[in-house]
Amino acid sequence: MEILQIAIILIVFVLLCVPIGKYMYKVAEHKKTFLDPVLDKVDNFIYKISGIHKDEEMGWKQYILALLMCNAIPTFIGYIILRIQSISIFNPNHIKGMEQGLTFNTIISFLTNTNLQDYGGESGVSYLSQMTVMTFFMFFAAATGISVALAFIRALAGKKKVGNFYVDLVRVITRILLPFSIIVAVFYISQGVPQTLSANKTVTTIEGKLQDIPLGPVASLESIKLIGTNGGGFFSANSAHPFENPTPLTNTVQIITLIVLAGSMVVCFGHMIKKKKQAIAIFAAMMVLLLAGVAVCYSAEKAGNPVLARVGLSQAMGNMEGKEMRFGVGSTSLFTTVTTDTSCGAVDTMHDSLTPIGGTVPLINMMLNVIFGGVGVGFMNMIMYAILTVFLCGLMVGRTPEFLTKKIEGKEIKLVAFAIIIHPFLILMSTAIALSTKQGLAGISNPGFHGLTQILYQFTSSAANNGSGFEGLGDNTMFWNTSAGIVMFLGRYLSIIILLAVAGSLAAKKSVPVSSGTFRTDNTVFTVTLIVIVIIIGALTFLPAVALGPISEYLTL
Amino acid sequence: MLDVVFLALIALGFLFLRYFANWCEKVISKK
Repeated sequence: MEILQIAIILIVFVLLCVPIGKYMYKVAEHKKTFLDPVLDKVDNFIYKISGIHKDEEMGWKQYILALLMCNAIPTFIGYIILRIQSISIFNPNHIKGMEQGLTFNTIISFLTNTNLQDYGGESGVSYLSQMTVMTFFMFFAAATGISVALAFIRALAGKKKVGNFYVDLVRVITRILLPFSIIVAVFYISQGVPQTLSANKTVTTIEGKLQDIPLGPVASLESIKLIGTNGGGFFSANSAHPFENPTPLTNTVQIITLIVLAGSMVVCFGHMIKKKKQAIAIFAAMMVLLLAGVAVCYSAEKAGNPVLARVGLSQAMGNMEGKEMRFGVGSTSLFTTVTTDTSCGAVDTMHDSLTPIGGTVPLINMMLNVIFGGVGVGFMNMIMYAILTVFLCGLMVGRTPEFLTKKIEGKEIKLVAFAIIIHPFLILMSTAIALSTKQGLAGISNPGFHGLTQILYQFTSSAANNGSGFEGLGDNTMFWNTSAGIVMFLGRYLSIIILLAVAGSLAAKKSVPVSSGTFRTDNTVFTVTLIVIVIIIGALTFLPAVALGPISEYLTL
Repeated sequence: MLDVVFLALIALGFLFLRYFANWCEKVISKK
């Protein structure tokens, strides 16, 4: 039954990607859509008051500079709001201002689509911050990711001008993120998710004790949290909290909404480059890796905890520690895998309580960082591996490497190699520093192999801009807030800049006609090779660290 | 004081990215 549930959810996801991907293509290429009569007026009004020249096209470098400028300004404003949130505006629970180190971590976290939360949502942020910082950045960061992916695809399609960043940002928000978020938020409200500005309620429990019931504008945050692959919860327990994710039905909708735009991005890519077979090859590679992760995670969690079994506790339901009874092992394993395949990071279970092998799946998903990935950016990472695959295959068979009719040369591979190295460098170097300092070791709550995994997971989640956590780690300290903040920042922007530069370089080249000597990139052979390359690179860089953490823990059970 | 340090760190981060974009442009413009 659980396997059938997983299968149905994944089939619905794949089916939804087709129309949504086509709709995204129409938005990206300014084709007619049914929302145009209303949204054209809204967009034009925004362009007018912002001074945006909507017909001005940008080169890749100009696009990046606009992105950086547009990302920098709200960061400073958001920082100030978090610091002064104790003011009496939308603050009925009298939340105090955030501490400096935590503010730095939080603002970088939401700016970079990571949503790693070192604060508790119920007690750490006012409604003003939840709405104007957290929810705002959830739209803004997701729209930035999609925009940059659209520019990337336009360059791969051979356009020297990759679009206008400001226009892309506005159109993605008004035509994709906002409409979907409104529909899903209304659904959540119908399922019992709160949407109110009133203060927390204090109630008397049946034991006669007083308990605070946290409320707030939850539904509006919850919808974009998943759709934008953001993942930052309104409450500390994230999607395990009954007010964020009250029913098995909302859990199913959360799983689908958190991955559907990332999957649709690949379909959109196929339409934009007018090569649907190429998109199918990429989508298939991602899907195979996703299914492998679900299979491993589900079987490990279903097998239960052998230590508990030895002391006589029944493991018939599987490993239920940290899980919600209303979701069960099947749905939870799928959520766990999918939330780390994409850069979402929302959790409906405590990842710290997963079995060692079950916990290895989210860790490896984030280390690979290519299985659908964050809206836009994850897709770009997979294309980076596709370019590398073409290059390596070209070397092996003696053919000139080409991708989408453009020759791949040393300068592109130099940048691609740099982009591939940055991710493990950020994770492994930061982990090594944390493991060799008092401040880093102080965060570990479970010394030994599991403690190493806690640290490794924190930096992997930060570098992959995922944001999920092994919540046993005591991470609200100056060391952890600052180090994770820096890793999130570099993890987000360096690869974006590199990949857009590579695409810009390819766009400037002449197309090479397809001949019998061309290495095909739209067939099964390429898909299998791509999967193998991703796994080999991932294993070469991360296997020693994974062996020291979760694999060693598994062997000691 | 810490506010100034963190705000300066963010500003420096964006400034670094600007120069990093210039470096990438240099790499791809090489013949």
